[in-house]
Amino acid sequence: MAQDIVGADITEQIREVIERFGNLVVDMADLDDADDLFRAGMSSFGNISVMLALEESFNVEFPEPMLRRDTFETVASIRRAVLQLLEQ
Amino acid sequence: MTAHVTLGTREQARDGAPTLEAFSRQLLASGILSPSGVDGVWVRSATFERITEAVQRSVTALGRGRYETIQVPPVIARATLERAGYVRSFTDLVGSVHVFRGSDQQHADLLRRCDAGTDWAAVLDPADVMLSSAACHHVYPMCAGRLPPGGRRVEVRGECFRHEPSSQVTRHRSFRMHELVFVGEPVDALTHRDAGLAEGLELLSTLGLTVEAAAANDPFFGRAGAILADGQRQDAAKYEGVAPVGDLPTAIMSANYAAEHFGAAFAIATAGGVVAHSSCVAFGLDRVALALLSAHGLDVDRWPVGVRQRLWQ
Ligand SMILES: [Zn+2]
Repeated sequence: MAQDIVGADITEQIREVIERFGNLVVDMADLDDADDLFRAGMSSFGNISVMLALEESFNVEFPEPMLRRDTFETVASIRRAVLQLLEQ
Repeated sequence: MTAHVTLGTREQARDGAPTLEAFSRQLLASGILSPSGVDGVWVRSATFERITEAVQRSVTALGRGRYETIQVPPVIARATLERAGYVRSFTDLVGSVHVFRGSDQQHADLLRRCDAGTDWAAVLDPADVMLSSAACHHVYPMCAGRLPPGGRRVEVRGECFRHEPSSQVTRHRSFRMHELVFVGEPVDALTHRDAGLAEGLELLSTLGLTVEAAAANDPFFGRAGAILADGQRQDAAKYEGVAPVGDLPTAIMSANYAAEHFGAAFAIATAGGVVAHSSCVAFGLDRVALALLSAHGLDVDRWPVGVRQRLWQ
């Protein structure tokens, strides 16, 4: 179950989704968890692809208040949101 | 950027202003607009056209001869609307054109459906055109390739369609947009948006409208749209000029900075070879006319002298 996923795996899973769907202009390996993904080239449409892929990957649904750019700004902010949803 | 936003701001509420419903009743009774039988599509009288034509001339004057002028048709290449991102982001607003490409047999099928009162449109196929959603969409394919130094300025006017059915006289599905569009260097695109917003608000104020600038977002569709709308607000990419029609604050113009969105989608490069940015300052001609009728009354010949002089002399 979701609760069993350890933190490190979640971060790895988020990074994989961003790498596949974020359309970044830099290498994901060069980005820290706190680096701004939009500055790294993620477009609005990249953001949406990442959002949908995260929902599928973690089997969650981002509620309306989370559908904001800052939710998807960094690996760390995405991780916070995903953890919050997994705990529910 | 914010410095321009307060320009033209005045106190909005007017004592004794009629409600939108009261204004609409009087407007329809006067015959200035007539219902078409479906929501959001209005038949326009000569009086209404006299106003929109005068507003057009005022918008053209804002351009001070710096813009190429084009008029665009009410339909647009399906591929252009796709590339503009409109189909993805405003899925519920698009209007598709369907045509008959069938055989005699399919024609017979259509006739049977007509006689039976069943859905004959099911026999039609999507055409290679759709209804135009924004006048400026026609401009970007024209700009594909390398721009001249200083970019390109285009004044464009055309009929547009957005599927927002409503019985309100302020919400037209079929309406006219008049836009001043810039495509070129990023910094120039932003300057164009800000200057156009300030000049547009000033124009509307000099026409006696109580107009305010408000940060805005486009009505992007669905959950994906919520993120796009938030991003647009974070970027302060869109402002609207809002004026009352009756007692309803109504967006009558907008000033939009699209950054590299259209430049990338239509392969437009600046003279220096980087992806071009764009901005457009758009006037909803029908809504400006409605705001004027609401502010000054339904008898155009009795509008304030200063307003009439600005519009017709
Ligand atoms: Zn536009």
